[in-house]
Amino acid sequence: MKERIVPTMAILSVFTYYLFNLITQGLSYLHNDLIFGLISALSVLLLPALISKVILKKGYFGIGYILSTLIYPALYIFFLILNRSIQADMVALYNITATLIIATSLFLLSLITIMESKDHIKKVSLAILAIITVILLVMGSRKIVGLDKDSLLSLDFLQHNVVSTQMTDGKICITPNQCSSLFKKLGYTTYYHSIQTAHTVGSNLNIGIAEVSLNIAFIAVSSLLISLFLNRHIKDKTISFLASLSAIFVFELGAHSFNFILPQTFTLFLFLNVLLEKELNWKKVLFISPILISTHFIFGPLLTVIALFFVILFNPEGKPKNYGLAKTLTLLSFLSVIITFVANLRGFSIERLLQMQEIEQLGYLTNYYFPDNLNFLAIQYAPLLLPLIIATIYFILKKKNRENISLFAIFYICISLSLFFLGPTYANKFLIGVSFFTILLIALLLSDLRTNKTVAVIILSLLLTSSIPFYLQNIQKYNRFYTQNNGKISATTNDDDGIIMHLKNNRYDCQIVSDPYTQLIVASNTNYQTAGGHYQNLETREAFVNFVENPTQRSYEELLISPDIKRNELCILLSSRLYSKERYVNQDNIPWLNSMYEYEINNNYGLPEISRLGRFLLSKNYEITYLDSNFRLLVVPE
Amino acid sequence: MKTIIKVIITTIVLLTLPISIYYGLRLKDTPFTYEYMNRSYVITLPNKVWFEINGSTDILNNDEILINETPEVVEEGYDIGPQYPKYTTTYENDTIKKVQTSKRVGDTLTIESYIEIAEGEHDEYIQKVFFSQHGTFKDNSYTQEGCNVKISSKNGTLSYDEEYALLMITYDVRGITKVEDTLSFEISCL
Repeated sequence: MKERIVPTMAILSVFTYYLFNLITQGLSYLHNDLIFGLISALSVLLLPALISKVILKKGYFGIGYILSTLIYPALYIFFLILNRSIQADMVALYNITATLIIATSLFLLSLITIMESKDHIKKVSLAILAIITVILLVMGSRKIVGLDKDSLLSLDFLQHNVVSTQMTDGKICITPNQCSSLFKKLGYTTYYHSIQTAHTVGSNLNIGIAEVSLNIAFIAVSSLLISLFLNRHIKDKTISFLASLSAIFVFELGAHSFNFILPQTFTLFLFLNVLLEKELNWKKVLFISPILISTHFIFGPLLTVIALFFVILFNPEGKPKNYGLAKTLTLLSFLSVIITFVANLRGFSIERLLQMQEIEQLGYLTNYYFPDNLNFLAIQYAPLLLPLIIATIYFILKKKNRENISLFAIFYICISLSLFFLGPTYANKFLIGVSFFTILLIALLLSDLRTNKTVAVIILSLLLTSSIPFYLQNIQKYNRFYTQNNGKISATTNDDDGIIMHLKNNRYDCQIVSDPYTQLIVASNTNYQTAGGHYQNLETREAFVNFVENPTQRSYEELLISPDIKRNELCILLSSRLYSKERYVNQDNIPWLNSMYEYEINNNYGLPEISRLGRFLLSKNYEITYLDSNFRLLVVPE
Repeated sequence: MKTIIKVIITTIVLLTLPISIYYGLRLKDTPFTYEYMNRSYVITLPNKVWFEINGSTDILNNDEILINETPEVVEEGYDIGPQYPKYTTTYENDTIKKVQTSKRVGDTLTIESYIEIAEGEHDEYIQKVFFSQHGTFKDNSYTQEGCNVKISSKNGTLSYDEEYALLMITYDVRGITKVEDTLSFEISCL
């Protein structure tokens, strides 16, 4: 009986917490509660694992998990049909679904707790404890760098939430740019968004709480997945768990492997599921590949090809005769790192050679060049680098490896580094998953050297401890963009709450025009279409500012013909962000007016008198429908 | 062979730990960046407001005496943990020789200046600090966007031009040919 204490306690705690707070504090309390957010996010991410185990009778993770994630796009399609046929409210349907997801997860966990053997329950208990440990560690590290419980650190999350709001508004969104103007390139389908929607819209969470909880849950579940993979090869749970912690406490800037949940990182997560599948073969990889590809159009195909290499040449369950081929391929990939590095050293990069048009649009080079690129790697992987180099040399020189997995780890790292040195735009994204394969290789080395378990645990603990200062500092550098003038670190400000509430409660039939950052906030929280969101064209930014400063018929007409203005019915939203430009000494060098990727986050500067603008807009039949110290919304009544 | 590798790995890991902890000590400092570029010491505050001390815009008797000069810059020290690099810049022409040494300790940046002026009739010598945004300047402190920069000069007089967000440090050089000063910028943010 005592083996079942942990899962039983977990189920009862979640159930009691949910009911107690629902009754005593009400539903709105839960929408702003991080613990409830974590319950929701863990349920969304673990439900496919439980379905895979209980219903599909496969492992928690693996291809069964990937197939089970299909419930989320399936739910979206089902709700969309209901919406189109009987005008069902999709938000309400998602709200009900979120409760059902939590309830079903608890029910399936209860079934496992009752039905499975003692040995199995012991493993489940360890998994639950591991998840709780990781959550506490991540929350602790967030506290150290000054983050609050709702500190949202990803503009991408806001951008993806725009799709969630549009999806639940009954729009057909097979790809994000089908229903949102915020996606300039076609990078993925809405497979990932269907999962985010179940959490953010489903549980109706405050957007900051939604992002923080989904990310922490993602890190915790990823850590579990990594532990399971390592344990298969290392055969030691403690070492595997410590190694998994070392992998997640690497802040891979750009790639964000296990730091944030995004389409690219979710693809990596699914890829690791593929690798974890027992008796994996090429047919299974090809069968599952559409899901990987639809999650991300670049990393999906890339990781599918790598998974095929894994199956054909490296899979430890594969034929031993492949060892020679595996080693040759690994050596070739190692050679490619040297060649691409030398090319990079000589000034070569894909972005400079073939992507100059994109670079001109961006206004800057996206990659680091020698010696900054090496410095970037050193600061990112810091204490893991030297052990990685030793492990790589050791396994390459070794005549016969016990398993091909060590060669596969080298192969993966070499491919990633080669792509990094080749330097297509945002090449650091190609380092995705390198932290995992690095720690895998180090753990395999310790295992291969037959290191005493205590010594191995000490070494991994020291590596983890050494990684944390680098991890924290890299986060701190990353947070600089999100640091507000009141000291809060977050992409969202409380100053925007009023207008969001107003727009949610009133459905104006118009396109919102404002500064790019306000547009992102509005688009990610409401169903309104904006003039290009945060990717608002520079011409539109200039035309809007020009109109606000100099409201004439001509400047108004220039605004109307700007690239992002799609309708004649405009809702003009004046924010204090627009007027923040007055603070700059050099009026020709306002960051957000000169670069598509610069924004003004703070919105607490107050608004000046707008008598001239007000008179002009009144003459065009606009009326002020919302007013606070930092916003004025002007709308033409229907 | 395996024992040697084990010893190497253990040694590396043991050596890495104190280095990492030392590296992490920077976490306690205010995360402003400090660098030398384009003839300026540029300090970017965590709130993205930046200011620069541009050595080539110094004024002697209403003339930008160093505007066409390129300084010799020497970077010393390491940029790790609580240690920040130290820059020494030297300007030299027929009228003036200026040596500035900057160093950061914790949240304070100090710039030591040694200026030698050729003999002649001179009234005042001015060093300038340019801020990227208009801020409030009170009690020798510049405040903007939740960050505060407290400025002090050992021998100069501070004055702030609100229109251009420009801080001027003025030295009376009547009858003297040498100026020594220590400028100090103490930075704190919410």
